Amino acid sequence: MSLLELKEVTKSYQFEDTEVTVLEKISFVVEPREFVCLVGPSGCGKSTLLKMVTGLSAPTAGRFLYRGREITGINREAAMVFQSFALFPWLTVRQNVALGLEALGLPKPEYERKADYYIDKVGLDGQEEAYPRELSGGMKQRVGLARALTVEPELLCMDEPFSALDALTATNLREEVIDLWQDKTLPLKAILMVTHSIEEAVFMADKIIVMSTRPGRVTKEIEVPLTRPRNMKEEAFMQVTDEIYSLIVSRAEESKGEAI
Amino acid sequence: MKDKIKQYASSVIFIILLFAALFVTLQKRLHFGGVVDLPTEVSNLPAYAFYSFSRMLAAYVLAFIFSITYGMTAALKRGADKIMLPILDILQSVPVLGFFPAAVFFFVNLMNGSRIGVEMASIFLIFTSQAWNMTFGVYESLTTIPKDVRDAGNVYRLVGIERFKRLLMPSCTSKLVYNSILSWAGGWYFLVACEIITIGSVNLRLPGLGSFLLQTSQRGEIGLTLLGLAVLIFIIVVMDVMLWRPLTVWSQKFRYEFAAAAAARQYHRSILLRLFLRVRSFGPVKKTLHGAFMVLRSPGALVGGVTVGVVGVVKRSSVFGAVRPYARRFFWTAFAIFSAYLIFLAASALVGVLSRPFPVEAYRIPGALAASGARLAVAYVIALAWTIPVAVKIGHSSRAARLMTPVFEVVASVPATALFPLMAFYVVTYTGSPDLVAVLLVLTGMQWYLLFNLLAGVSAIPNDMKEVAKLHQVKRWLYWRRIVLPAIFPSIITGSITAWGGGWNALIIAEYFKFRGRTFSVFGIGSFLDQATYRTGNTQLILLALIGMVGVIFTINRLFWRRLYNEAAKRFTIEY
Repeated sequence: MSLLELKEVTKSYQFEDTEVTVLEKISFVVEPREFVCLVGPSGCGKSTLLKMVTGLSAPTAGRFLYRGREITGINREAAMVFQSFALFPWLTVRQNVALGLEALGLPKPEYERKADYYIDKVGLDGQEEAYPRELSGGMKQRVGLARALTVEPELLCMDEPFSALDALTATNLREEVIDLWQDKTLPLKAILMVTHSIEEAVFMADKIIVMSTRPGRVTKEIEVPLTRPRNMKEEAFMQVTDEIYSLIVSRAEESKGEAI
Repeated sequence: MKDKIKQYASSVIFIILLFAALFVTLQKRLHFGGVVDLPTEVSNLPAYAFYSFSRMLAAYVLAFIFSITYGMTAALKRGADKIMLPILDILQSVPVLGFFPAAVFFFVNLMNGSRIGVEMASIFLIFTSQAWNMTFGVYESLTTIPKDVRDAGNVYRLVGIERFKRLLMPSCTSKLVYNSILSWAGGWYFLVACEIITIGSVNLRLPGLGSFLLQTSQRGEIGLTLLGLAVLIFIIVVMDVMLWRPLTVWSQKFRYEFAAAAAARQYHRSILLRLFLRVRSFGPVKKTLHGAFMVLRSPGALVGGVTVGVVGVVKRSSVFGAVRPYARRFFWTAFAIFSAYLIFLAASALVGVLSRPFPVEAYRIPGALAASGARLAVAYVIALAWTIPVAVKIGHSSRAARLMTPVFEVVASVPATALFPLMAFYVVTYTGSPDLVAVLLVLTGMQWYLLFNLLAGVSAIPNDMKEVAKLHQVKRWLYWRRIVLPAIFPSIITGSITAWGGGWNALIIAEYFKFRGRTFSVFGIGSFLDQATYRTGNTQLILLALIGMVGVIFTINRLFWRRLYNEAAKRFTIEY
């Protein structure tokens, strides 16, 4: 059974007198042990989609199935990593990471032990007592990652997790995320990541879902035929990226033509 | 260290000057013509409303000009903030009501005791309830212009009037509009105190809504009071719908934020603005307004252009260049000598008064201060207890915020001071405790500052953080403890500072009041001051009480609130 299944998901907002459709009839599946990337121009509703997967917002029409059951309310099997990190500046690294466990009502020694375990996993050992303002951007996002992992989700949602980081830090962190995903000791089953970087998507994903804008639709689903570890300089890698680029560009020109 | 000394020195000197002005006032007895009793017919109401509104408008225009000049100088002149900010801080936290006599004396004398002088004094008093927060707003927005934007301004050589028009004014707009709303609310609240001027035994009433409200409520004419109140609320609501809401929406476009989408959505929510944009029949109105603007603009531009030209020519001339350094040095030396002389005069006058043996009553001042402080603390706790939950509830729902904020703004504008005699009468008759009444009135002077600051704080919590909390199902007490309370902590502090300022001010009318010829009074610094002014007229006592009060406020602010604020700013500020 698929882990996550979207069936003709549509989202629209009432904007004054007119109804604006952000997402139209989106359908795709995320299988267990699959890394899926959503790629598309800004404004195509990628982030809105993630919010619905985690249960923060509900679709106007269509269905979200998680392991065959409809998602209503917060999806407890999913966790989220934010572009802005969304750390609480007044909490230490440990308190930030442990927040979800504390909310579950775990006793303090237990949630602290667990938080420390994941802080160690993301390579922040020794920073448990630090405050977010004392950390670099890359370290902050590691805290965000650890916070998502501590609740031991099956599905990890990431909303442009590397776009607020400098290129070098992003490169390192990308590889570490893949390592974590391949780590068989974690209950993590799949990752659904939103990005606007095609190279990033091809580097990380098993399956890429290309979206168009206004309204957001699925243009194409592409299985990435590359083996891991991947290298951005290989011929095969560049072929895949070129294919997606031309897809997006031709879509854009098409819509320009429509406008005229 | 040097800055610290500068700050303290300027504060102390400023306080001495304030007291000296007050002292000079109290030495003289005034004779002026004014109305002692107002006709309170219903037919007078429209005229009264018009008078009050005009006073408010005049005071607001002054406050607007003051806030821009003072705020800009403090923000842009290097080193100016070290001196100008502490002074502003004192002006904001000093109970201005206590210094009313000084202002009245000055203006009435200036106009040889005519009615115009009294009007000017009244406008000045309203001004003091409007100007400070606007000035802080201007200062804050100028010092927080993003560096990139400032650099861009420099790169493209924005100077003089162009810089003012394209960079400085737009940066202040959003905060100026927001603070203008609060200032008008504050002005209405103090309207009563500003239209009835008491010096010694002279009690003057200017025709206006404030004095109408107080007089009818003192006489127990509830119907008339309610009618006056209805007129006031009508004005406030009309201003809100016709002026503040469109302005608020319009000012959103000047904010340095990347929340463009949200702003655009807001833009369409102002009914009036939408009508203005959509309805055809507004075309002629728009054209007329535009025409009027253009007509006014060209002479304005002419005068401005000529001034700039002349100044430029003078500045570039060699004579000016040669004389300039000397002229400047001469000016500052003269200014320094003159100020030193003034300060010396003031200080010696004060020492003269204070070195006389203290009357017995003077030893009750510390006790009175403590009693008043306790009353304020009780009111403060009550205010916190209701504003925090309400602000958090409302701030978490944009719908509730949109519905409730204007309601709160209207309620906050109602001059509780006018209703006070009525309120007091019922509370005293039912509970027999004038203490409770005093606490209640002080509460009306404190709670709104807290509420509005908290609302701003709650709505500033980033959406991502709220989503994290939702995803991890952080709820109830854990949500409060880990997320909401730390996030709004800085707002609680700023709200508390202004609330205590408002509280001390309200004390002066809260502890001593009249209703149907009866006088109610509770022991405290407010009633102490009132009695010293009305009954004995003892200058030394008034000065001692005020010095005690200002001293306590200043110490609490410096030693407690400022430190707490700095700590909060360091730990709890959300950087995005």
